[in-house]
Amino acid sequence: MDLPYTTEIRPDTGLTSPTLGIWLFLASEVMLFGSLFASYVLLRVGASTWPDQSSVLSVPLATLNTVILIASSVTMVLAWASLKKRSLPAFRLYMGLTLLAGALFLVVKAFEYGDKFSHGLVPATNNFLGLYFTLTGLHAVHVLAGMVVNAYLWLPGARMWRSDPARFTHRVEIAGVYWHFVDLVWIFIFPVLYLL
Amino acid sequence: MPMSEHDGVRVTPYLVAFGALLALTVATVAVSWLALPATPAMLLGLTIATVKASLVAVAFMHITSARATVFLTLALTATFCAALFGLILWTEADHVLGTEFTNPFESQGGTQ
Repeated sequence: MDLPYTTEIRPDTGLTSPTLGIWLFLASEVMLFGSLFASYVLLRVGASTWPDQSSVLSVPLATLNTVILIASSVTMVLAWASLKKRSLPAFRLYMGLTLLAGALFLVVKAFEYGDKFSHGLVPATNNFLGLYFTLTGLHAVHVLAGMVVNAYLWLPGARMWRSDPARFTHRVEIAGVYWHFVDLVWIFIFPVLYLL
Repeated sequence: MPMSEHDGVRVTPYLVAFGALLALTVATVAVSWLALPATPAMLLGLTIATVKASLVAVAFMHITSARATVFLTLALTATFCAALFGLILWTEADHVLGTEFTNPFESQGGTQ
């Protein structure tokens, strides 16, 4: 059975079903991360003392991760633009670079976590580290989930390009919206946890 | 939408947005070096983050070409998020303003 409105606009919403679906999902994600940021505000404002965040965490590594994630957003949108220009090889190149950037982000994050653990800094150490590990850990899970979807579109999912290029391009666009959202969340995590 | 309508995708705006995001990342780190008092530092840092997030939403997520349904969904989410933060700040207002708890029974000469 063919799903309706995968690439055609639904008259009542003015959107394709995948587009509406991803935005509704992202709305729930905003509330998920929003509640954690709100917890941070609550605990920090209510605390009599708070650690100097930039001395506890590694600002250079976080800056590097920011650059990596921003670059991955560019390669992701270029992967979609390549399909619009009907070039599957260019799509494979840019999507491959996006996956590489995602993997690099996680490797840097793993180094950061390893360094904290080696110094005995764990989520139970204090409220700040509890929030740091929760927020960055949840974000890392989101990066991993995006990588799984992107890897599927990069290799087995790309078969759809031959049978239904418009639908495949739309799938990449939807995956891109999610990936950019993950980048957007990091843009707030970086100053809030590392710099302020 | 037929693909032919989008064949002329221009990549230059994406590269310009990339450059702007890198520059704003440098600005974010630079603000932390200024050693400003907590409130201005937080306001400046979050303002830069909001500008960066808007750039991502406009340039990469194509939010400006989204339909009313998307904006309604986002507006509802923003309202709930604002309420979440507003209620927390309201709850913590005593700490923010530096007021302290006083025993309401002290003035009555009672020992509670």
